[in-house]
Amino acid sequence: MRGLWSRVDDRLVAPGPGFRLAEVQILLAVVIALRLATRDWTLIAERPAALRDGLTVMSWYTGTPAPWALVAVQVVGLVCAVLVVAQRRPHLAFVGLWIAYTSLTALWGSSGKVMHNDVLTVLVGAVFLFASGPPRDGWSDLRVRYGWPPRAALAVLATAYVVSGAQKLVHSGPEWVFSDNMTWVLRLGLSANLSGGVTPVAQDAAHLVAEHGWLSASLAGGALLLELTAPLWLAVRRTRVLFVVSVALMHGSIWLFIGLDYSAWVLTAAAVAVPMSLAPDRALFRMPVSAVGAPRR
Amino acid sequence: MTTEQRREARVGRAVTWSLLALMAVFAVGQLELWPMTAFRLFSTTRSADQTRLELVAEHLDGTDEPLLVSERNPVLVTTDRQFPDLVGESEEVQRDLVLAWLSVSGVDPVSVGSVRLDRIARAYDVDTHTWTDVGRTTIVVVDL
Repeated sequence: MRGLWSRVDDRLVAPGPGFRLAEVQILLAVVIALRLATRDWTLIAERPAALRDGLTVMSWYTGTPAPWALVAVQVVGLVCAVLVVAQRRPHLAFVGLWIAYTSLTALWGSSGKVMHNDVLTVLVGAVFLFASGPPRDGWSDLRVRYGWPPRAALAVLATAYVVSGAQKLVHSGPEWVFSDNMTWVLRLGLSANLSGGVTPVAQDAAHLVAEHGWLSASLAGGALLLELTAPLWLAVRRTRVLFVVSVALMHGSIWLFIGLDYSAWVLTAAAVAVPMSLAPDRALFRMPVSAVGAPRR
Repeated sequence: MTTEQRREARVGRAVTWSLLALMAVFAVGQLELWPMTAFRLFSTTRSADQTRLELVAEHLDGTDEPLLVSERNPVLVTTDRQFPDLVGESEEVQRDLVLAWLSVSGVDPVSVGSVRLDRIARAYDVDTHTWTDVGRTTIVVVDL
């Protein structure tokens, strides 16, 4: 056990090429920018203060922000995203981007329901608050400081999925898969528009799956298995892309069948796992560069 | 490893294991302090026994009007998760909450005598793929 722990720790802090850190940071910035740009944040201002609820990092602020202030934070965040992509003061810009995104999503979600849509992106992004990227002429440098952040991001990603799966077992046990649970999840999801939810795109397919118990149980079993085995998929370089494809199928089917949008989870998984699936000496954005000695993991 | 590399490794270990430990604490303790979360996504099983809560404005002219909490605004829609909180709150807080829900539902409180919270039992029709309300129980009434 101690040997395994030591090997995991050694892999975490092994030197890595600068371009890999920059790639993951840039891709995460693009994901966050997409989330910032595609939502009308001024809707937060329509919620009366009496209806604010839930503990978040923004709970210290008890007022209702003005629409212009929300737009200002959005714009600052987007400018920071551009700076990260352009690699101009990327660390400082990423911190600004993360703060803008986290603040707005925390305010958005302060209505009484724990919102998980953006939580993975925020937590994975938190790793890069402590990670300094390479200088422009140092993308091929091998340093410990460039190696651990992308691996830490993989670890956070894996933990989020495995905990999501474990909670299903803790609170429901095997019944989560082997009862008619998924049938009722689908039937309830199909009626979500009654309470203001989004009307699912593939309603006929969802009805079909709900009507066949073995099909809905297979869907539940596949989702749970994927979540619980996330660390294994993400530990091995060659299966990381397969994990991204699998979570895209899982979250995609959830969106099609019950209208819940977890695209940020898919994009975040892709932003981290796709670059980390490449050989350590192969860059995603530029021509292959020499990174002799990079750990081939 | 050089001294510099050892220092960088210490930072990496501290950040990574602290973040993972924090996630584990929130998961085991079932805690929520967004963005730290217990990740309880669909963790409880669903069954055929379903109920929903509905706020109903009782107008002074004797008519009832279910409150549709601004369906076009996703920030407001999820405030329906606070409906159960009405039961345990003081009269003053109940009144504040109800006035806020009337406001975001576009209902003038001047025409409303009281607002009640109903629990509605629902049944699913396999043939028509629709849910229908089969019973209604009033949980709390808030006079304005």
